[in-house]
Amino acid sequence: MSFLIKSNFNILVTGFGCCKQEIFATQCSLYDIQRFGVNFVSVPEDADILVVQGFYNKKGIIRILNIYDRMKNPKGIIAVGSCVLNENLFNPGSELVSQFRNRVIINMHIPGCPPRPEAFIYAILKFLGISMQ
Amino acid sequence: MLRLIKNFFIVFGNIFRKPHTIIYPRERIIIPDGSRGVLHLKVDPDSLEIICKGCGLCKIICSQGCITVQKRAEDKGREVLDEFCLDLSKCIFCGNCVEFCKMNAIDMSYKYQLAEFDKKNLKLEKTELVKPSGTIRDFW
Amino acid sequence: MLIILKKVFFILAILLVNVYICEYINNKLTARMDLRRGYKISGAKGIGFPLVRFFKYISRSEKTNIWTFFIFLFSLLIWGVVPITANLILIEMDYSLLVALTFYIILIILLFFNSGRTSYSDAYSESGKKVLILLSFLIPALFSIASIVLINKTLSLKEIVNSQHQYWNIILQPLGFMTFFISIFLQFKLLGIRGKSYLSPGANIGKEGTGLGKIIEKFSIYMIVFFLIIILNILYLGGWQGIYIIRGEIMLAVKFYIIFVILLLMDKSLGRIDSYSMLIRINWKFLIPVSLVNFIVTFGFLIARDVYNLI
Ligand code: SF4
Ligand code: SF4
Repeated sequence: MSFLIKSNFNILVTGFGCCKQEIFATQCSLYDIQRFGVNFVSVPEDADILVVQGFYNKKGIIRILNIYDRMKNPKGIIAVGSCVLNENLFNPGSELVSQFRNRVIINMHIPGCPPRPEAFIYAILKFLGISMQ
Repeated sequence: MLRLIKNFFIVFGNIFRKPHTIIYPRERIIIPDGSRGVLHLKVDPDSLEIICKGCGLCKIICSQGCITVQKRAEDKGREVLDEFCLDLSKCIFCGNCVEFCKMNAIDMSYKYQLAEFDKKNLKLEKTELVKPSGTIRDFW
Repeated sequence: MLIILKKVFFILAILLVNVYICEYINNKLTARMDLRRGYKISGAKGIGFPLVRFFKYISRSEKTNIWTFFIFLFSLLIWGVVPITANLILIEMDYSLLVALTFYIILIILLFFNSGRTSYSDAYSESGKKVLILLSFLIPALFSIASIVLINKTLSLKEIVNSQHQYWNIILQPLGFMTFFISIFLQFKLLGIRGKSYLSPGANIGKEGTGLGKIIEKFSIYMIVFFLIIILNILYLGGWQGIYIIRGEIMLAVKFYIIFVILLLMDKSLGRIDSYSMLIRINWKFLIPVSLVNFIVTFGFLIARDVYNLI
């Protein structure tokens, strides 16, 4: 099972942030994340890990929790960017993200605003336990 | 239609061209000059002391409130930095603190490979910020 | 009895091996077309990747429904009537072309019903439109097939191949070949071998579903593509006719893979289709008139030759 996850790792990206651009840059030919068997999917049942980034409104938080419930075990969450790690950059004082953080367990934190694509790949590799030489 | 035929041959040629991909953990990519990474506390090369005196200007100027500075007065009224803590999970790497520092005591390194399982590890203490790795460009 | 079982086993083995190879080519070659490297994990050059993906899908869920069962059945039933090579045919009959086309249409309609079972309310109206477009591409193909049938005067696929022992039909019917090929390509595009399937509901939700049902869906899509390519081979490119000392089976495999790679390349170079009106325009303003003209010319030629003995 762990071998399967290691060699075919499916990612679902949610949120409306600017970090999304940097995350999707990893699909392109310069940083080809598919080399490690990592795929970007669009169905929660298919995904191994949920990437949370950017801003959310009230409905967005409910929807993302729904998505997390629909995912199959084993599952995890990667939080990207200071919007999720700290607070919404463009709406400080909004409690939504902190509510979200209290409801779920976040497995991996990537700081930055936005983090570089390499940092994202680094986090994925660290998550999968692929050694870095 | 003509564009389609042209595209067809470009795509066909791509099969035999060398891929653009950088083999990430092994190969190096040169990141742009002046890109901003983690803060770095400068050290005076002669006395090997931290230049920062702990005046607290960066703490005031930081929009995210991620720096905590404390100073301590030594004998003869000399002020020394006691505590300098950077919370990476809040920092947005804007570089404001570097611009406003009067002593030129901090600068931005090129370190950006950051990811932690535990959020507590993202709080960097003085001893980690001093490490001299960041001043030159940090390759892979 | 034993011979039939042996044949079934051979057909299944050939199909599975080819699905595996095509999936691998699809993954690796599309990566190379983007100037990427593609999978390198799970075996040398990612050769084990389709297997890993298969087990991953299965490990997610085993849920299937009645539609997927029928899809699986019909995607295998096609190969009962379509001959892959001269010997690998289960049921020999005179109307195999018509039966194969019927199975094909049923398969597409089943895929449409299957894609309807989702959480999206407007799924049927969305994918129904696409299925109708896909079926409308059958009209030029049918015209081309009709002119082939007129020339060879038979409905049996085996006879059509045998009648091409002197020269291939592509020499007699270049226009028909062109329309048939373009129609196949657009069906290939709509089925979505590479990346997203346009049959599934929603423009952005192409990979709906997990588990065994998804695998069968993907398998059936491969079967449709194989069927189209083999039919193209049989009708125009001489099927399993060998050239000089090269065996017919090898020729068929070479032709098959060349056409598959060309389809992939064209798929990549056209990019993503967003406006279906463009597809409809291509179909009704270019493919159908051209194939109709081709059909009428062939028909008139045959009438002039056979009925009035003019030529
Ligand atoms: S962390 Fe920064 S880059 Fe990422 S979504 Fe928030 S504002 Fe945009
Ligand atoms: S870079 Fe910006 S956010 Fe980070 S510590 Fe300096 S002022 Fe604060």
